[in-house]
Amino acid sequence: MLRIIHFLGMTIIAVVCLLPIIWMILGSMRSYQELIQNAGHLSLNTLVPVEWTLKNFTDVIFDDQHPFLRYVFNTLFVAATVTLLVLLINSLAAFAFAKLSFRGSAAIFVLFMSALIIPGEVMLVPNYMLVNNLGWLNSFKALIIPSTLSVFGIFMLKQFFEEIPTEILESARLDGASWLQIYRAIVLPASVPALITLGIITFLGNWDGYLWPLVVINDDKLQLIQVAIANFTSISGTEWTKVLAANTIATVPILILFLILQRYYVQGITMSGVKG
Amino acid sequence: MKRFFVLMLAAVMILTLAAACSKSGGEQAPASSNQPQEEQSSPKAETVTLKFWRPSGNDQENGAIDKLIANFEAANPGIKVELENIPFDNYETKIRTALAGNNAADIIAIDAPTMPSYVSAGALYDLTSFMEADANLSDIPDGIVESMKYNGKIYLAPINEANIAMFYNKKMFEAKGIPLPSKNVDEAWTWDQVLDAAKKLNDPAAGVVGIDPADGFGGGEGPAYFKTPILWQFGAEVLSPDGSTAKGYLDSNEAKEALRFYQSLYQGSKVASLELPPDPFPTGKLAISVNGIWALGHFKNNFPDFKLGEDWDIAPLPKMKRQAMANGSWTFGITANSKHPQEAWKFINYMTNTEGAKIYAEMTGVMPVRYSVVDQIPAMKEYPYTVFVGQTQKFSRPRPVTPAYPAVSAAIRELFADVGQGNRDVDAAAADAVKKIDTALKSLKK
Amino acid sequence: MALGKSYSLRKSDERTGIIFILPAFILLVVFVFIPMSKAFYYSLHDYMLVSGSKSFVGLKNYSALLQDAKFVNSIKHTFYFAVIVIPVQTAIALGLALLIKPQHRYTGFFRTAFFVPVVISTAVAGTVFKLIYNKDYGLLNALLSAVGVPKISLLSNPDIAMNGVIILGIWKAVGFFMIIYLAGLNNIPQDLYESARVDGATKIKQFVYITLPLLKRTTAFIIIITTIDAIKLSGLVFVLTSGGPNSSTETIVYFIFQTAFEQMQMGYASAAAFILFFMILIISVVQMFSLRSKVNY
Repeated sequence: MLRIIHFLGMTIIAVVCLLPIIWMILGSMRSYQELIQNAGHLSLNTLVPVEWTLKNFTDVIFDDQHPFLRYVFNTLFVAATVTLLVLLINSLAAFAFAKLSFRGSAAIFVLFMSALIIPGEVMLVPNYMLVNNLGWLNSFKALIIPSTLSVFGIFMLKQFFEEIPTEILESARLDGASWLQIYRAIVLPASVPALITLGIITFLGNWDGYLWPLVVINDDKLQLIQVAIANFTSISGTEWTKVLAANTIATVPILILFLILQRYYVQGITMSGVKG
Repeated sequence: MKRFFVLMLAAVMILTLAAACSKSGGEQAPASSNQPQEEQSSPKAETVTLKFWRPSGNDQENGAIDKLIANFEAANPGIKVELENIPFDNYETKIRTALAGNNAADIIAIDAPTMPSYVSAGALYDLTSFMEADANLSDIPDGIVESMKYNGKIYLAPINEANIAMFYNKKMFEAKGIPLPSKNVDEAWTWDQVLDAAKKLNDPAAGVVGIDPADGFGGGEGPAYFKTPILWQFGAEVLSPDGSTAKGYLDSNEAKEALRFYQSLYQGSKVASLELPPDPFPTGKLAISVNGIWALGHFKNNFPDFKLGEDWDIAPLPKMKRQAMANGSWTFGITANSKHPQEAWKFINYMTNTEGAKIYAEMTGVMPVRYSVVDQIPAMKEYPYTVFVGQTQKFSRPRPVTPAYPAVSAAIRELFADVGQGNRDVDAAAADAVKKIDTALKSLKK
Repeated sequence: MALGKSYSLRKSDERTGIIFILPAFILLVVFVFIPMSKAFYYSLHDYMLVSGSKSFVGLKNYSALLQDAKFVNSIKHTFYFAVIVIPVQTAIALGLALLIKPQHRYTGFFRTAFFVPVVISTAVAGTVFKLIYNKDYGLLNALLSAVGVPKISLLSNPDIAMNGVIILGIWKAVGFFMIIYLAGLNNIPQDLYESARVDGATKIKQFVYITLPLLKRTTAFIIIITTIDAIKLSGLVFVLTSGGPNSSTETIVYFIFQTAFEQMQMGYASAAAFILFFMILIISVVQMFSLRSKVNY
């Protein structure tokens, strides 16, 4: 009995979570007129297309002037590179903050945390000027390098790393292992779930990036997804069906990636195998 | 450590400043009429690449611009135009950031009323001599030429005019036995007549809203564009003629009368709705909609079953004490930092002069500004364009011309939201708006 | 956690620590502190975005902001959002984590389903919620009227519009914090529960005396992050309400963005950003101290 209630409760929540994405996917397969007309009243057809069509997808993908798959590829490249660098750079720093509490490390950590607080919107102009002075405008460098610092990541990984028993690290150290070896052989394997969680959230953040690429990229061929999607809006309105199709193309790969990774990231710190 | 960064910062800033100063110096534009074409097309000449930024439009508009660029490049082998379409919603964020970094494109599209703020910031190239030499100014209505000017100089070249009118659902009018409004611009309905009809059409039980008087409540420049004309129609002004204050104008009795009327639509007779679903007019949920000429293409493409002349029609904007509509659309300017103002002008002149403007108008269905183009396109002499052309030529006027326009626009947007959505006392709301505008105007003078 | 401190570090270990932090620190200085000091410099000047004209005005921007009704209102709206979202979202996140903690065949599906809103682009989420919230045609009011509740207009009634942003915000973010809680739950040794069961403790007692205390660190982390995110709210406002109706959902960062890019008053906007910065700083420091004291287990 309890189990049925449990199941039902989760089903209702799942519907609330999934409904918008289902609307997005099904909406991308109907004409604009149909979508809008059925958005106004509630019936089965609010969700389910009357006449199915793939025209939105072909319009979005086979647009010679604005090759959407190119933007997907650009974004994939930028987001993946940033994610790898974020994991590397920030896990090193988080490890140092968690386990190598050197002189002044608390103060430096507070400095890092203060960066989490300042809203990115204010930094847009000064950062633009900086990237401009560095000669990085209109290149992936401008999209990748400033994004490789993740103070949130340092904070989150520090939390996880602190769970690793210090005795293990200490004994490895006494056995003559360098900190880099300890980091590679003990810390990283133990925190795969945390790294995957941070990786997903970093990847998503870059996948959803809009203002920064809008401002620093001036060449259409280098542009990213969200800017391309925003281009479907003009003064005469938004091409909603194309926006939905483009978003479907942009979201489905992420969902698949998430499905594949999901059994890893929920486990918390796994110390099995290193306890000896 | 800290000192080092402060020093570095100072150095960077001095450099930036120096660069800014040296670049904004050369604003003198040599006359360019009848530049010999041969010079550019000779094989030895280096290729000049022009960067061109504009807000992304609908498919027709984007296609028309692509066509114009292709035509121009074919005729001018020495010049290449690199277009970047930028999301409409954040176009200004992009160009303003780029202008701050002295990095904007050579040619940028500009919404006419924001021009003075760019000019006073030294960001735009003076087009006066170009325009006088090449653009055949007498081919453009005087009122529009005026709105391209600031302090007597021309900074923008127009291609089309934005235009709004009163769209109405013909079948709903007929069902309620309401006489249809005239399509003749000189026989515009009064707001009282419109209100009367809206009361009869408004039918909450059937899910029909009477009227959307000024494009709902949105962000950006839209509200000021749609709502300022209501003030004018009731006989009010936004600023004093010298542009120095809003006091006595935006809070005049006429302005308050307009605001009270607007407020009553939402809060009194409730023939207008604070909330509308997407595309309410073509889906039969709205009977009267004040809407823009750009909606024609949108309805035609996306609502093929909703036909102009059968299901709906267009009438001139309502009037009260007078008829009025705002002019000024997206136009083109050259940035002060451009290294190729001559070539940039050549391209702008091609787009905006008779040949280019005709292609643009034919492909997009917008209303061209040039008399010569209007003459060459037969559709412009027929309904529904007669409504738009007539309003532009007879009743259109620029929104307030001042570098403080962004503040004026925001104040008008907030004022109408305040009385419409907030149901606030009109006197207090108007006093607030005047204060906001006058603060901005005052800070300019320093 | 006291072990880390008792361990005496050698000089080389200290150097390793610095080397490990160095890459992140360089990025911090170049892409955060340099731009930040520049923004601070702007905030002391009458700096206009395009013209770059600036005259030193000292703290005038700051004092003007504190008297600017629009700014003060934006602070109120932001805090209303934060005060509701922080407890509610955290509680729901924990609830969801507890719901999907038991391993059944179907939990994998639900875990993914609950995470989906995190993956959806903010723009699409905003669009869908606009349709759902619509007063006359939306799903929300259809459901409410089915159970006899009168219509609400989350998009056009300035008094309640912020609640619409709150619902969207929680919907969009709660899945992520659920995952963080789930990881925390998985770190709790199962034998604690077993011995509690042997002692005859009820499920509720187990939750209060084992689960909650052992999740303190996770909760502290989640609360700090949620607070910072909530006070920096702007993206949801852009896609759902554009600050309306009647400016009732304008948040501090929305105000900053409009002031900087629409009004081009960069100096004024930067000053607002630093006021925001100090506000969050104070709140975070207070939170860290009050939450840290409870972590000793």
